[in-house]
Amino acid sequence: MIDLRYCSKCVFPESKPDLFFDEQGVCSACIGAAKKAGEIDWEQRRKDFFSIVEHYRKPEGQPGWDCLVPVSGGKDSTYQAWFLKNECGMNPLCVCFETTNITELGQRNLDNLSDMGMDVVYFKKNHPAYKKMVVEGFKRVGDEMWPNHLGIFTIPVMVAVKFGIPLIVWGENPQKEYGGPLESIKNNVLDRAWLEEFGGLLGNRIQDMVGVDGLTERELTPYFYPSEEELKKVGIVSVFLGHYFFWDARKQLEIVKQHGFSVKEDGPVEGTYTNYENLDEKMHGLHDYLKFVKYGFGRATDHACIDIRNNRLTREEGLKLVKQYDGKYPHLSINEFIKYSGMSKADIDAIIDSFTNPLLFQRDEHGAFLKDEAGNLIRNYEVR
Amino acid sequence: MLKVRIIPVLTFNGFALVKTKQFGNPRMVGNPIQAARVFNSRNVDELVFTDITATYSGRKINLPFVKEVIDECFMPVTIGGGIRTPDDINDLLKIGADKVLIKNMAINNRSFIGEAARLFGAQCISVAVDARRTGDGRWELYSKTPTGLDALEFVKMVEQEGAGEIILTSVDRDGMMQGFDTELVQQVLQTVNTPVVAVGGGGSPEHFLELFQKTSIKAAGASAIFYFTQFTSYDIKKKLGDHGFPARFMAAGN
Amino acid sequence: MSCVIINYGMGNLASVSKALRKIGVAHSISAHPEEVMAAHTLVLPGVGSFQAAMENLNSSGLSDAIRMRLGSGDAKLLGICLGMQLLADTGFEPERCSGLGLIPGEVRALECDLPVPHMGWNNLDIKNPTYFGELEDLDFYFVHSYHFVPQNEADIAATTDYGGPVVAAVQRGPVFGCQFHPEKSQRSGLKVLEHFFAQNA
Repeated sequence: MIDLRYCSKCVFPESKPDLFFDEQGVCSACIGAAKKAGEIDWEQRRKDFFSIVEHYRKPEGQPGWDCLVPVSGGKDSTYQAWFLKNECGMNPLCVCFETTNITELGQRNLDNLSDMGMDVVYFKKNHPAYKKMVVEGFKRVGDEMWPNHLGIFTIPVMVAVKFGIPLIVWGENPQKEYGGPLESIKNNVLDRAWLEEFGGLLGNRIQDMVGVDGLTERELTPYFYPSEEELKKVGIVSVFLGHYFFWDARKQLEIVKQHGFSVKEDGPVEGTYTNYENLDEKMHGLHDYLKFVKYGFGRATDHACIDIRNNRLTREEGLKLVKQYDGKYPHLSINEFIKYSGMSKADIDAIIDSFTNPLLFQRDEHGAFLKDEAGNLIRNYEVR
Repeated sequence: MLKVRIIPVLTFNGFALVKTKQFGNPRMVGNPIQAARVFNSRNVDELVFTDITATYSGRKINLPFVKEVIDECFMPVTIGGGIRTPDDINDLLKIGADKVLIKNMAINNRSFIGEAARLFGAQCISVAVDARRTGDGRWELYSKTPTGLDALEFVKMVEQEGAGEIILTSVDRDGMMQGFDTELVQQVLQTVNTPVVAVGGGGSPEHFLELFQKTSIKAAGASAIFYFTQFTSYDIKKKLGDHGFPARFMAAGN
Repeated sequence: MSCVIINYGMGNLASVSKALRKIGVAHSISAHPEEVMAAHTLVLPGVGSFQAAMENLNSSGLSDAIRMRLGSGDAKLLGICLGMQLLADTGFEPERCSGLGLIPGEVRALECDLPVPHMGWNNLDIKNPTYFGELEDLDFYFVHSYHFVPQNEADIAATTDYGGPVVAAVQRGPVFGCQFHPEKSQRSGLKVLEHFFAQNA
């Protein structure tokens, strides 16, 4: 057994990338959240946001989209779109990069966006090319959603450039503080370097995919990020709603539910205890499981930490949910992936094993990972 | 003609890959297997993989784990971390390491370098020289416990002992992505005839071009650029190749 | 057709084995002269000094076994790096001593103004394409401080340039030696290995 340290406030383990602990053992995510709750002048930020909105609003009496909102059909982006339309009086253009294998629920929620009274650009990609990247992403960096991360960041920016819509409104705040009053945001260009550092691309670059299984640059057109010149010409500016407004996912969920958003009625999503996240993608469980095998924590941990920080759960309750739901072998997603990729279960499991951290999970004397009757890995550390 | 070498440097903390800034604030950046696969698919020239906490934690490098990383690679791999005895070196060579990287033993017991070179051949023995500016035009040899040694004097000794290669890292420039310490590099190149790999500060292809133009270096290593920017070793070599430096280009694909 | 990688205590057996596995060549690793005598293809890797290597090969009976096996006419041998240098009559690392004597010539210290060892990727000038075939990329990985100077120019299969021409590969009948590391030279290296194993002795 190894000694894995956990945050004293939430349930993030020290194995999470980019996480630091202070002397009291409180993690940087909790510290950041406390700062958000305490030290931030939300009134000023709200004012800042509305001044930005005013600056970019197109003149009345003319057609036009005032801003662009990247959407997935999920609750967060649906909320963003609703907020810009209803609270800010803007006419947003919603842009969606089609996910790998959309669920019925996901499709319904996406269609709902246009029912909410907004234009939606739904980008349906070259499927064979995309599939090659899904399989290669899985084998090379242990993430079958790799091309999806690339697409969801690149296509909205590309559309913004081509359609001449300078203001892009993203959702929650990423690691890097990315916001400010109107004067400062002119420099907020979400450039390629940002994408590589924070987009979850795991070191693999789009140019690495040229030549894989015969893929050409042409087939990979949607994934090449616009150049600095193109971004400058349109004056593309990216802001995160989460910088200007306190992010409360559950509250936002209640709002969008009133506008046609549906959640999963028959139980939680694979890999966690919630029924309102990651509803759109059939194979999301595999992506989350890969995170679990690499770092020892999964989606249930993420959700529990958010609920703990928002005072909806105590740490004890959070721990219980993590032990119950975190890191279970995603049978449903794996079956979907077998169908989608054509790979055998044995090959898929072998690749998952190659990314599994041998310090975190128990192995037998031949080096094979131990699994319980349900196929779940056995932790080599205590969740506490 | 001998090509320039661009070498990704992976620093490991026993658990995951980390990236430091000026040798502090390690930031976890991912899983070694995926990094090895990405770099192998790019046909990079070489790879350096070092466990930077092994010595301080009083443990040896995790051999089965390192073997898995080496197995992903069909280019030369240099492995470092916690090397204290000739058996440690032999263990690494047995699992497929081409070169080993020695740091603390070189500082504490210089004759170890010579012994290792005699036993295993100079071409297997690389020595890590971490240098930090002292503010008066010199560089000290940096380590967690102060060494009190001058970096240039130290490299002279390393050459005398017979090491095959020196991996020279600028502590000041490490992780800052603001360019290499070209003065340090040129001074070291003027001091020794052993092959040197310059590391620390390479954040864009322009930085590498500046390094190769201002010094007579033949090999450079980098880390942060491959985690945090869109540039790959291909972009760096293209830049160098366009300016007349002999670079090796391999078509992508497996 | 059986293949044996010769284990005489000085070689990067793991890397060579990995490369052979990658190209699908069944092989075993052995330190026993009898197994060398029974094999059709021999691979002689090597990292370290000439003298130490020959001492090991001689005392274990492996050098005799190699010579006898090749003498029978239906076996071939690949020498890699130091393993290629050992094919010579004479070496000088650190002192003058005898090699396997399979390809006439001497192994001397590299003497040039450039840094030593010759370390890195360098391109080949191929003289004898038997085991090289058509290569997209001619850069191979070298790391050595001594080099082979064959007596006969006809035995030189390839050279590279490092302060002047340096012998990169030798070939005499069924004996082929590479100064570079084919198992470390990615696609091109694996192609050379494939060609070697595809040809009959």
